[in-house]
Amino acid sequence: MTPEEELYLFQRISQMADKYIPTKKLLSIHGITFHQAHSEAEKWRSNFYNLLDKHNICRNNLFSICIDVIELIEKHPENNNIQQIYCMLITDTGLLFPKGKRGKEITVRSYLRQKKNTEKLLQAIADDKALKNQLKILRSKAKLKPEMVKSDDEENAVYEMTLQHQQLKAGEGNTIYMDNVSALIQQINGNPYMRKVKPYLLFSVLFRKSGYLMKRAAYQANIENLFECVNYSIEKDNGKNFSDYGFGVELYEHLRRFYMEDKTVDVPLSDYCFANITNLSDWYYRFCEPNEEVPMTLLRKISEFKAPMFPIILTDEIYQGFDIDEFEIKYPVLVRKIQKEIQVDNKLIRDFSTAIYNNDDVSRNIVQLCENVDAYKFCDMKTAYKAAEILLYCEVENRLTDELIFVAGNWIK
Amino acid sequence: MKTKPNDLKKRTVSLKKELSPELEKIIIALELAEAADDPTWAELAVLVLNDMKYLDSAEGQKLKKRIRLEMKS
Repeated sequence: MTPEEELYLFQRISQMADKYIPTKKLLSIHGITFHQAHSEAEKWRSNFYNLLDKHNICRNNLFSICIDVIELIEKHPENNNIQQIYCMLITDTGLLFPKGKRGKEITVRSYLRQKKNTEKLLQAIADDKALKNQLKILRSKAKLKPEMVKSDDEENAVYEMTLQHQQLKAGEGNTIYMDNVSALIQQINGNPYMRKVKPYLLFSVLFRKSGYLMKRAAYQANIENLFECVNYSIEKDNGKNFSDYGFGVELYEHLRRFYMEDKTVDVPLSDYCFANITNLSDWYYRFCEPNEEVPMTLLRKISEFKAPMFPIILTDEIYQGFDIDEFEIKYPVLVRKIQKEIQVDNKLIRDFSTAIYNNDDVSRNIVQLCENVDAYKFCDMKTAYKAAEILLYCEVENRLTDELIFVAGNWIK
Repeated sequence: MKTKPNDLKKRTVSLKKELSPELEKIIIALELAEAADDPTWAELAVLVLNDMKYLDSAEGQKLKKRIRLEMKS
């Protein structure tokens, strides 16, 4: 490891250690005794399995449970019980589906963490729905003609604040810019609905229309347009776009902090607009170290609350000590052929998934896959079968992980 | 509402570093053990620290001691 990597790792371990709360303290935070927490954990677990039975969810294995839950969400997105099952399921770090033997202390700690995460996630789903409805109202009120309301202190402060950003520094001493920023604030303040999402609206105009603000006297932004979704090209850094997006995120974060204590501003609603109307929040969480409270979309929140590595379909029993990395180094062409075949042969993956769902023997699918790619030409069949099996499970696990996140899209339709 | 601009925080946005596969594996192992409330987290962290030159620093020694004492209590 390089010294930089060591430093990075050291910092990560320090952060994790800082986050760690000893069990005694954890129990006192929750105002609960160890015995009570353990008994609640048992109840939590049985409640989960009762809910599965109530909704006829197939309990063959974790895969079948996840598949049935996904289907139920698609059919009944509003059902509270199913939302509850989903949140309990994806936040599980071993309380519901233990791996190996777990002591009482781990059970208690997992329960307290999972209960908190489940509650937060359920709340996030409910909040998202409410905010979505409020955004509809905002859109319908954006046309209202504002009564310009002057507020010198605010106008000056926002103007000064924007100059702290390198990209808006050109506005210093620029009277056109100063007047346009003032007029924009007056325009937003003049409509009580728009005022609620002032950080978002100011960000949108300052980020998207800075050229007009600097050069065009008496520029008036079209507020209605600011509620139309904008998808920036975030897949690749072209040398300029990522630095622009960084400016956008910092500008919004700065504005939301500025208006945090303003009672006329609805910061959660403004955050919702920022996260859902632009894709800068997605960009931030994909490409940046998340070291600030930048608003997230619901799907991103779900990814954050999801237990790391959940769901584990490819278990240690399947691996049986087989080193797939070493196999790939030895037979890279074969691995690529198997992976390609898995990608194109939809029937194969469907049959394999059905077999896992039903706890059936999957060897038929594995043999079929090895025959399709002429695996016998590369290595002995026993080794090829094991590698093919692991790669199939990997694919199924990856697809299931994605589906578990994307199914939440049913709550934000 | 504030009448004075609040200062721009430094480093709200810093791009993720590309990690070597080895480092990524260590971090995943640590995060998994930590997320599962697995007490081996402490052992794993100390093991990793043992392999690092930061252990020689006063900071590293303090962290190692803390992990051992707090997490195994």
